[in-house]
Amino acid sequence: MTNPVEEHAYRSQRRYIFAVTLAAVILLPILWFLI
Amino acid sequence: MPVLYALLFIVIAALYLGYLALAVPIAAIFAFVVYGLGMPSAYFVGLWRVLVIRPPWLSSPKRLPKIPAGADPATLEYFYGPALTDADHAMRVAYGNCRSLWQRGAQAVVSSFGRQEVILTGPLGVGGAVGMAAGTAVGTVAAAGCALVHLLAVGISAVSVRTAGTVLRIVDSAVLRIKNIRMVCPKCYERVPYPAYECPGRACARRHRDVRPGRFGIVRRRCQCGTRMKTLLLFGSAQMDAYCPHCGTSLEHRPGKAPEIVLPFFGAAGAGKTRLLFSMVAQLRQWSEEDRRRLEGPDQETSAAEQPDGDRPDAERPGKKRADKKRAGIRRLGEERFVAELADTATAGKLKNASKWLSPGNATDKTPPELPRAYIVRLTTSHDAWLLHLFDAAGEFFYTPERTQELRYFDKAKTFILVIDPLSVESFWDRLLPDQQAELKAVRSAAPAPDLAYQQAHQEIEAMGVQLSKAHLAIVFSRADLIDTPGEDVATWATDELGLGNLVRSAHLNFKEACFFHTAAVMTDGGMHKSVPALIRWVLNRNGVNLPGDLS
Repeated sequence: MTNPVEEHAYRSQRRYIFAVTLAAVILLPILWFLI
Repeated sequence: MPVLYALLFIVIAALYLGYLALAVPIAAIFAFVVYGLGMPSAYFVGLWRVLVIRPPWLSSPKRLPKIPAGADPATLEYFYGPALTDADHAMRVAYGNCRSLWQRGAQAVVSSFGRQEVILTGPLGVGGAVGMAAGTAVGTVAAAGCALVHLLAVGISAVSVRTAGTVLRIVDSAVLRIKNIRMVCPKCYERVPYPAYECPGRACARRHRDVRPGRFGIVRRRCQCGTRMKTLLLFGSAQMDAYCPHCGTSLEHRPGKAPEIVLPFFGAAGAGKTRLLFSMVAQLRQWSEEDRRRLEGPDQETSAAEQPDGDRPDAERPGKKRADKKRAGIRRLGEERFVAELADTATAGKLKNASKWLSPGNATDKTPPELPRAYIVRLTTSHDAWLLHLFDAAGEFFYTPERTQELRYFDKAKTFILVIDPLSVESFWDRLLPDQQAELKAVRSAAPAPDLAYQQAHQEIEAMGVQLSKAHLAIVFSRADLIDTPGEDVATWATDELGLGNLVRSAHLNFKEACFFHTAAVMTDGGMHKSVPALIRWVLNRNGVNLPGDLS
């Protein structure tokens, strides 16, 4: 994946997936604990 | 003394046991915490590197998404393969991180037993090993949980994106169906399910056969050159340069925004098909020009023939947008407008001087016996637009079934125009006075009887699967300027005077509606013969086009 066009094209989706995964990993145990 | 040594030993043993009691659990707890948290953290470090910072030294992914040969020159949509590649890549990087973390711990444990002060470091090693084992087990489960969450995020996003793509395709297709837009290539006559487009990027001429939402993008796709392209007509893809996905012909008329009307002209050679087509286009343009003058006022008058760039499609003329805006600005509320434009360069090149050919003394060139390219005219009223595809094939195509079958645009039409030269009917010709014959001999068609072209085309149209019971046929007798007008009832005249009773009956019997016209495709004093507007109104009306009533 060294194609600069692809790197540019996928940047936002990659960050979105990272943010969603991190948020889920943090929030799921908290939710589980609260419920 | 021995007692003193014994006491000292007991104290040291007690202290060592105390050291053991503290060092082993503390080392175990420390190792457990480090590995219990370290493994999922290592996973996130891998994820961070693969998804966010992507350092240059990052290893290459093992699996790459497969793109079929011959696919469009665009980058894959992230959730159509690259997201899974990234997940696989992130797991491999995370596994490497975890392994190096574990190896460092194992080395520390081993080295704790190899030192001189093993008596002190050994218990730390034992505790560390126990903690490492337990922490690794828990950390592996936690890292697997993180990986599962990551895969779930990718999976749910992929499903959402693909569903959105499918829904958008369905909506776009539904809109096209509701608007009754079915596209046809003017050159190869194939139905165009969706136009292909050329990348609008500078110095990039890559062609994309199917831009609709899919593996290369949902709302937009990215060409390999990096330029973003709209994926649907709904989003404005018609602004790009379109091509036929079957034959690669440029579709300059920007298909997909207006319903297309296929209008085939047929009849024997020399019957007057081309002249009739020219006269219809000239009449439409005349209406358009009159409407423009009416709306802009007399001081803005500029005839189409005076335009220096008449070769170019009307839509591309400089200043046209300005004129349109001005026109829209001065249009009064509720006032209907009508615009007829030559929609592509090929049409503009052929028909720019259509009206010049229509003076009584001029004759149109003979149509070459090659497969015709449609002349495309865009009709716009205040609320709607249509693209008129006018097909004018040489009469030679209608003498043999093989040649007629080549005209595959017939099965896309709902209205047909049969053109007949009354002078080509032997019985009619024989009844003319010698003076008349001498006068008209030059313009008479030498083609076989008009029945032949009709029967030939009729059979082939039916063989192509066209339901004639739903089709309309305009039978147009030409030369109304040269021979006496038969009055209102042209069908009776054709039956009684021309002896075409069989043709008339067959047309009435087979088609949903057959209407007879006697036209003169000539322009006198700047105006078209009144027979042509009547024919245009009938033809367009049968295709759902109601022209503004104030066009004369």
